[in-house]
Amino acid sequence: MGEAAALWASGLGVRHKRRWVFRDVAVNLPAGHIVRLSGTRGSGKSTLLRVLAGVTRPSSGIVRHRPPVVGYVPPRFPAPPGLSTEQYLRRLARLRGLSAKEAYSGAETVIDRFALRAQVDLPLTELAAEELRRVAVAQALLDPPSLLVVDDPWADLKGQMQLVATTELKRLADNGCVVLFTDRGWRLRSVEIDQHLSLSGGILFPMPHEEPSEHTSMRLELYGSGQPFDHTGGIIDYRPHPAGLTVIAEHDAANDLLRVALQNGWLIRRVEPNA
Amino acid sequence: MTTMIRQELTSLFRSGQWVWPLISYLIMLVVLTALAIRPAHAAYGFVAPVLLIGSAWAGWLITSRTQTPLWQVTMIAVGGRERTLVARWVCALLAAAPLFVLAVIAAEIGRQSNSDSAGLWWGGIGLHLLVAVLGAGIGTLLGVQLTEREGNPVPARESTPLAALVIVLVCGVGAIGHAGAIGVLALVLITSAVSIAAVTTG
Repeated sequence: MGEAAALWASGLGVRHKRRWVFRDVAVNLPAGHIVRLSGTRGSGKSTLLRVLAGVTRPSSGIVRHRPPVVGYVPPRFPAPPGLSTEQYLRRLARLRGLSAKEAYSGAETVIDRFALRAQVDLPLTELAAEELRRVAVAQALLDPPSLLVVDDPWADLKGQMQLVATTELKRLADNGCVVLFTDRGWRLRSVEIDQHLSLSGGILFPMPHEEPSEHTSMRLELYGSGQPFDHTGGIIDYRPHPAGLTVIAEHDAANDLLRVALQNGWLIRRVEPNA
Repeated sequence: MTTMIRQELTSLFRSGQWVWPLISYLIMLVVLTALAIRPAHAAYGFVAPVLLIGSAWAGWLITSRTQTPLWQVTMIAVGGRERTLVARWVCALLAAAPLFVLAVIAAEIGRQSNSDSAGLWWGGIGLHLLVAVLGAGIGTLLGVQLTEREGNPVPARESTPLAALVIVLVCGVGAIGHAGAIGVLALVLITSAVSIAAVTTG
């Protein structure tokens, strides 16, 4: 993981009419870092993300070293009319400058990764909110980005897809991508972040590093009819019941356990810190 | 960028949103040509405002059709705001091209019916080209501003009658000096009919 700045910005400010949403914000994000941006509602998190992604022009300041391939997942993703899932993804891949063959291959990869095979030929307007959210995340990964900006990516994603999204973030970061995200509900405490920045009162400041082990155990609610996997390491408690399975696991083992559970045919209902 | 231009134009064509603008535009041109304008070169002056609004309308249709988050995603995919805006402006110019050709044909018919000269008036054609480029630029800018500020595209059922009404007003003001109140009334009636049809069909 290199420490060279992959994204650097200085003096950033955005003004709406006469009010500054934020000003004189400086950002220095090294390659391969996963950065969480938090802040209260209306603090300007989404605006800052848009500025850093290159969607919005700042009222003041500059952004330097923005990588050439950027992925952006907006907080709201309305269905583009008149296109099927595959058509939309291939169309966006072509817009990214990929050849027809590369666009096809890129679309197929994300379709499989985000379990969209059943929705491939469906018009996007007919997809459920969670399926549409998967398309929103998938489009950002069509061409592996060097900067991934995700604005509350897990808002509508179910347990399994949260895991897929988390795995994707980690994989991208391991390949040197800067991952910058907000997570309003802070649903994925298991994501190992490198920096936690908070935007409040128009000022961006670093937050103390939260150790994942702060929550020493996680509660995994599973359902379906999978195979037992109680011999797997990291399990504190293993409780089968008629509706499924509840597993209390060590925090650091939760991701691996979820993977094993999926491999064993279980479906994930909920993942949360064990109270 | 070429891919985006092709996709945008295909998408506009398939959406069918161009039908009512084109119909009302053609009606305006036919009515203006039928007024048998005098003096001869005034035909170009009459048609120019319609072309300006028609090409602005084309630009507006292209840029205001996308909802903000999708516009942002497209912008990132294309590689920046400036590249996307240029691509959409080129789309608007291409969409305005047929309107320019129709405007020149209408203006030439109007001019030659009141003039002995058989050749084209290249000065007028150049002026119209400028008007079409200007109109497409204005429409693109308005569409982008609207999309970015409002967050939603303007539905065709609202934008179409509004634009038709603006065309009527512009043509009406021009017509007062030349053809009198009967011409204005005819324009209002025709475009109102177009507007009502557009609203009911969406």
